[in-house]
Amino acid sequence: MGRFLSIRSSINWICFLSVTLLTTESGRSTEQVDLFLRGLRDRGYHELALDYLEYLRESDLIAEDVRGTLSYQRGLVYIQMAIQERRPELRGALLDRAQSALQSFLSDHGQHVLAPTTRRQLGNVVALRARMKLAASSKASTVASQMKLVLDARQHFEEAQKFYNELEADLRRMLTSMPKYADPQTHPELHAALTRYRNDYMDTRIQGAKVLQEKALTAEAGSEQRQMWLEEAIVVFDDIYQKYRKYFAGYKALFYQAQCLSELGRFQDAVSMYSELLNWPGDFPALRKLRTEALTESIRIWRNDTLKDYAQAITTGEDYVKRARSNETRQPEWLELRMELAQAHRSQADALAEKNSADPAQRQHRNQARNHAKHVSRSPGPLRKQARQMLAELGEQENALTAVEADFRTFDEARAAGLEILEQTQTASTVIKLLDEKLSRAENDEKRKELLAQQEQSQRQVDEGRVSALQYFRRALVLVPRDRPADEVNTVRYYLAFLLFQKEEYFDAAVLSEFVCRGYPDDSLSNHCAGIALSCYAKLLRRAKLDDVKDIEFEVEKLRQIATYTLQKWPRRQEGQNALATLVDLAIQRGKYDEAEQILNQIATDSPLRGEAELKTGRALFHRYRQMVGQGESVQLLKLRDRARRILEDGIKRVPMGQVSLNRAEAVLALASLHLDAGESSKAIRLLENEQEGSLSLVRRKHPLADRQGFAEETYRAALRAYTLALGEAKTSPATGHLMRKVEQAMTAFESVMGDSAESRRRLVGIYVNLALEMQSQVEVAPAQARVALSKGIANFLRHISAGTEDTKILHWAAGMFYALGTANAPPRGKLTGVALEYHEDALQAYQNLLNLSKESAAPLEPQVLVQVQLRLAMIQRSMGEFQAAIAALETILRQRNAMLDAQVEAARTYQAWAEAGDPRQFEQAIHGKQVEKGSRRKIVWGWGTLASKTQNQEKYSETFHKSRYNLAFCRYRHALSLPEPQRAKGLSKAKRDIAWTQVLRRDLGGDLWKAKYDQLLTQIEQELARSNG
Amino acid sequence: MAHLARNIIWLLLVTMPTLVRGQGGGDFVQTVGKAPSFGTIRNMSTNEIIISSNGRDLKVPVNELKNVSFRNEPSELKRARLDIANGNYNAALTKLRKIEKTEIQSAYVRQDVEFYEALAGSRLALAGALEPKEVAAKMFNFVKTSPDNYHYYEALDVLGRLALAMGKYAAAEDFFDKLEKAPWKHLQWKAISLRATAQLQQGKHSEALQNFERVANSDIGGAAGERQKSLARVGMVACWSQTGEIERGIELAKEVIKQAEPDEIELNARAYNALGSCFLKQKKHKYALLAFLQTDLLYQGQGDAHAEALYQLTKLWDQLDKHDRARQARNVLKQRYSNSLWAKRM
Repeated sequence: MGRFLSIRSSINWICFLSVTLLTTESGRSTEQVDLFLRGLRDRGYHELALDYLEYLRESDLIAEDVRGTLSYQRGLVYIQMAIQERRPELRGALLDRAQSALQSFLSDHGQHVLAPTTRRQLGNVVALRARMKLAASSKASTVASQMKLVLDARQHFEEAQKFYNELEADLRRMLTSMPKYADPQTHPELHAALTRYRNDYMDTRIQGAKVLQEKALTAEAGSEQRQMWLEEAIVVFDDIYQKYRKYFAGYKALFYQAQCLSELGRFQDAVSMYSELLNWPGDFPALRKLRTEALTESIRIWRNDTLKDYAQAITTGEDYVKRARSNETRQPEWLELRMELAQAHRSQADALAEKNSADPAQRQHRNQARNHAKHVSRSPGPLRKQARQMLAELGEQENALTAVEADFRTFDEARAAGLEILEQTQTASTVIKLLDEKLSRAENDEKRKELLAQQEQSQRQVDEGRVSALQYFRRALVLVPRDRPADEVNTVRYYLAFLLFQKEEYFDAAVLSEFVCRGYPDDSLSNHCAGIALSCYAKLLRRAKLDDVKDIEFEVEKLRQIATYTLQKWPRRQEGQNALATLVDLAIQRGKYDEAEQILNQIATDSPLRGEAELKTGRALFHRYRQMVGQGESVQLLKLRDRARRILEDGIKRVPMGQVSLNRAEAVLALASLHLDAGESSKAIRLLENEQEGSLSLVRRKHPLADRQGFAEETYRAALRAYTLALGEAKTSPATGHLMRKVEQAMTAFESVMGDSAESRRRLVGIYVNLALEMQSQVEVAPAQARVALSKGIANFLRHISAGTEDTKILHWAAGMFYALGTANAPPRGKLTGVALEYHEDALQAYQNLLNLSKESAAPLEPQVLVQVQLRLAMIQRSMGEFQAAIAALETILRQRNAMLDAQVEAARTYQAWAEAGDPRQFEQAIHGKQVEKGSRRKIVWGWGTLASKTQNQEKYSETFHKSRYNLAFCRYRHALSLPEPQRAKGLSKAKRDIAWTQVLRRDLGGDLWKAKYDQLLTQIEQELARSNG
Repeated sequence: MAHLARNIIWLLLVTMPTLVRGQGGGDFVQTVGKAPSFGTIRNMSTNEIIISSNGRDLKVPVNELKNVSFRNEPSELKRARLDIANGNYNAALTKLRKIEKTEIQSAYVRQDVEFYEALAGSRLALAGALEPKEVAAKMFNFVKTSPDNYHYYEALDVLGRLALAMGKYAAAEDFFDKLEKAPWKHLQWKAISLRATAQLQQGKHSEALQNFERVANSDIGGAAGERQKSLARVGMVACWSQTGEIERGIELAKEVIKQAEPDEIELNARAYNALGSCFLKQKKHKYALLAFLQTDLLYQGQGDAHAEALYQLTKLWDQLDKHDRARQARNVLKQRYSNSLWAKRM
């Protein structure tokens, strides 16, 4: 029977294959499904391929046998996705999924004809993991991590190797048990299975050797280990090649063998193998691809430092490139070949220049290098950057843009010329960037000058190129033939609009781009044109505002229209999102904050524009809030504040921290102020002090964003508010001390920022006054332990205010504040000490300054105010125990205004205090007052008695009346206590009588408050009387 | 493989008359399933060809014809027929245009050249690669000047389809009415099916459905008949997709797809497009995408259906925010089928 099928084995295998092979009952066959999936994978529609497989799971479009292969197909899709995925973590996850899908297929269909292929793919998954690790090792930050990755890679390669070896053995056994030949006519299934298994066997062997070759790369370069593994791989590849030299697998084995030889430094052997491959008969696409790769490898070898055979590389490469088919020129392997060839030309040019700098051939080689690089740079892909880099390094031909005859006769000529020149300007732009890098590394001035000159020249090329491109595209539009497809014409319109935009001819650019996006909404460039139109109208509006144009309705309306249109047409594209951001701006400008917020919410949350728009809207709401603050607090105002806070917080969270912009800096400051208004000082402090973007940090670092007039002022004001507010909440003394230091530091920095002009001082004092007032209101509600700290804070401000102003009104207020602080901290009785004394002294000094200033001022204090100041001075003197001086000051007032009730009260009180301080005789003066002169009946100080009688009949002075009556009784009582008996008892009786008389005069004794006081005093008097009476 | 086999048969057919002629032969008529006849074509009409062979006249009905060639016809005509059979219409046109028509003595040969030139152009126009108006004029001229030619009914078929492509539905129905007057059942059913297509395109869904159902339930047999019935069933799906009977349409489309052979390009392409349209109506965009992609990836050979698939894909990709893919589909549509109604709708 020999190679022919025996009846028995034939029956066995047919039975087996009827179960496992793809017999189409009804519905799509495996081939059709496979073909479709391959089509999807080739186009990179992986997600759709997965959807399709999911759809097929339930679909009755396919036969059951096909359904069984779906997990295998899914595995293939995941592998393809993993190969194209650049992010290592995602790639790893995709490989996990591939592995799981393939294993699932194997466990369900272990005997399927696809089982060996599946096992091979599982091996591929492991090999891919190894390649990932190896690639990652080259980017490792430390030697240790690099070593670990290399060892991991080796382990994976070995695992893959094991996979392939086992599969190879199984396939060999299977093939040995199968008939050697099956007639495709009579036994098509068996024939198909044989073919498939043989292919699997060949591929498995090649892949097994390939991982061995790659494993060698995990050993140190030049090491014996590496050499050994490479040689092992060479033996396997050679064996495959010898056995399958008529098959494509044989070609591949030869190619890999050559790679191994090259790796071992046996370049001539490698090149001769690549040459063998290049001369192989046959012309099918896979072979052409392999040949192209072989030639690329050859050129790489010829070009290396050992051979430096550039001439050979160039001759062979150029000859081969000429034979490229039109559909091949943009394929990745051809682009790689052209790039390698460009390198060869460049190396040759350099070599020639080294021997003889005047050799004209070097120019030809540079031009050829440029041509190849240009070709590569026009195709998207990983080599484009490298090609552009080379073009930039080589510089343009003749150091000028290609001269193009501008007198075009056809649309195509003009369009092509425009595109060509744009391409060249792109290269020139890359040169500029490249020179920037070089400039930063320039060693001396001479070199720097040279580089700057080159950069200037490139800039000229860019400018000239743009002008020419503009001219050519304009000409192209004149020459448009009637039947020319709109998309070709629109390409020209798009570039023209773009160039006009760059030239700042915004109106023309807007008209042209709007024409395309509205006239051809489905054109592939339409959305880009909408983007240009949007930018143009935004620029026009900005320009109009800068020029202070009054009527900007046209610009606003056009911008609104194009933004609305763009949004409707491309809501999810970048242009649509830009449109939304523009509409937010417009709504803000018109004061339509609700509308702005509504549009804002339409911007995708992951769009970078969302955060920026939130910051803008939040700031607008903040300004509105500030305007409303002056109109008094309301529910509406509080709602507005919370809304602004929420939007700003969202925006700040969304915009990445490192992205400090003016918008963000202002937003941070606004949010800090809003937090302060809401009493949340710690949040405000965190924002202001943030090292990266906090307003305080920006101001301290003199960041350009803090240059805006008023930014520093607002920042320090907010900081001072925040610190002073926090003072009220500080729970420990170190915390208080820490905040106090911050306040002082902030004030010092604030004053240095504000400068020393009269205007600055005025503003500064105004700010301090407000801050002091705010703090004063805090003192009233602050817990006892915080009051001292708050008072210190206020006093600090007051001292700065007093020192910084000559405004009598402010000084008056500051002095009053000092006095209030002193009073609040003073003991109910007794001598002033500590801070109370300190604040009184400050107050005294402030009032004294005020009086001095008033005397010298062209606008002295109003007499009414002057009296009040004098009165207050006297009160302070009294508090400080300087009774005589106080009485003297009061007498000065009373001489002029004897009926001044406040002064009379204070005078009586001063005598009383003097008496209490140890001179009981002064109780007499407190009670009876003091005559103007001895013997005179007219009193300069009335005393409590006269005060009571003078106010007795006037309801409006009821308070003063009771104050006087009470203190009259009190002074008598206190005075009596200082006297010996019987004067003592007599005095106490008088005191008692005073209260009784008061009750006669006012039955209610002035209400509960006064009555309680009277009662208490009366009790004390009666107790003392009882004691006196024995 | 199927292509290769067909090419070999065609090559034999094309070269055989030459060999026969070399032995003193003349015109050649090949019929389906019968031995070819060599001799002299004595007469022809829209319904039959009379070939005189070995002293007796043989009447060959046009519906049984497989191939006809003439004594002394230019070799370009032979090769152009081969190109057309293989779908290489541009190559056929190039060859036919090289023929110096004034030098052709035989009226039959001249008519054949005119017909094939119009046919190749029409096929390109129907695929959207040429402007239909110009080629329709040529075909119309052929029908007008050669009303008794054996290509008459095929010309009517093509003219009707071109009228459809131009949106001239009344003219299309007129041509299909004439086609229905053919004496053979399969052409009559074909005419009904085509008229139904015209009605469908005009939005006359119930009339179209009625006609498609008539064809689908007809008794026409043979492979061609079965194919015609399958295409009519696809027509029914298209009607149902418009009248809201989506589920029913999907079921039938799947049934047709399951039964279709992979190499039945037109049937597969139209069935997948119809299925895609049903999914579109259901707003199952991904399923629709997959259906139209079947046509795009596997059945590009049916130009008009491919153009339709590309049109729908462009819209679907855009809806799914895959604008690059939409652009690619749009570019193929515009480049390959620039004159199609689908490209013009973009």
